[in-house]
Amino acid sequence: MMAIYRHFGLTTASTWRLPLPEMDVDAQHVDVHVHPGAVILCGDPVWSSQIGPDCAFYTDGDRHIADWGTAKFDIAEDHVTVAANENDISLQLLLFPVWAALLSMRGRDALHGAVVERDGRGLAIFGESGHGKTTACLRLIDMGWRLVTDDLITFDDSGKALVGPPFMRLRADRATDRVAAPDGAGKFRFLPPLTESPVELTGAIILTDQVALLRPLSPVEAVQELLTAAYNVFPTTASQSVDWFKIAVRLTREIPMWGAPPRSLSSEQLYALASR
Amino acid sequence: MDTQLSLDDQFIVSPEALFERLGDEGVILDTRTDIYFGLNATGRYVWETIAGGQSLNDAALRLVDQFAIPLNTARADTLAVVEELLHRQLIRPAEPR
Repeated sequence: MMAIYRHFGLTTASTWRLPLPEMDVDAQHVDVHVHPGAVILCGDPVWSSQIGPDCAFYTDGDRHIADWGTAKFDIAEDHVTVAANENDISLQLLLFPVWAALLSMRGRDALHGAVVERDGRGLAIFGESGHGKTTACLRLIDMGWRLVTDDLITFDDSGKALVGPPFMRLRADRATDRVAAPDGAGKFRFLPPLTESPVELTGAIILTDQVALLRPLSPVEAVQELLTAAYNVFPTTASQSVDWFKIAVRLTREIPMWGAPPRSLSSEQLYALASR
Repeated sequence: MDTQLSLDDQFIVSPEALFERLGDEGVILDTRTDIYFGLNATGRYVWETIAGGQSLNDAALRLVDQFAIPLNTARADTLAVVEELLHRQLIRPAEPR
């Protein structure tokens, strides 16, 4: 049965049941259709893994085919055909890397990070996996901030951060004191207070081992760090690097960027930065 | 100092180099290679001067004006930046040698 969802600014009709709030929207306004079907591996190979989980990507005209072995996706601007069991691992692949590719094909390249919001002020937190993004987000949420998006950040035409899935994926040790359900993909799904509309960023923290202590980043440093935060699963368009460069330059011009060593920020420091 | 370079040399910026000024600094994306370059204030002044069709010496004089440094120091700084930009193929001499 088909349901309608809102995901990173796109109205999506899906016969797969997605872990997103359902909407009551006229199906004529759907941006993207998600449906099960056969996915044929074809086109030019663009990337395949040498280590880790097997995955390979192909480009065939205006479509991209992503193959994670047990889950295959045929991705176009306005539809995704899925050949996979309807389980949490496949849903994670659909909601994040596949959606990042789809967004890129629609001119909205994504960054890897999280955004929280309070009183209309959005704070972005960037950093590699394990550098403390989730911990920082949880601390701010515990101080009254709301989740805008976790893991994948993309922007609307006015530069506001779009609202992502309404959950954070936590490791078991972080989920012990929270109401969080196992997601079947090795983590726990935590539903924090969620913002409802796109949010203007007013600052960003980049957790990076390129700085020795918390300090403002120079513009050159900020652009460099933001480029390393590109959500780059596989190349989708010829202009993708330029698009990320423009995003990084825009953010560096518009908002203060702070750098901090990984896992270094105290709640007090976070609160002070977030409240600036 | 690269003996092939003269203070009167002018340069042409690669059409594949995407430059953005950010405050005192500048950033360049080489769209052929997707490699990113950061320019400090000195590098940014040199880039903007030679991108405007002025000579290496003009760039050095601009550094003297902006940073109140000796002309010899400014020329050495300018040459260092230009040599790096040439090495990265982000600029090329306006007159073939």
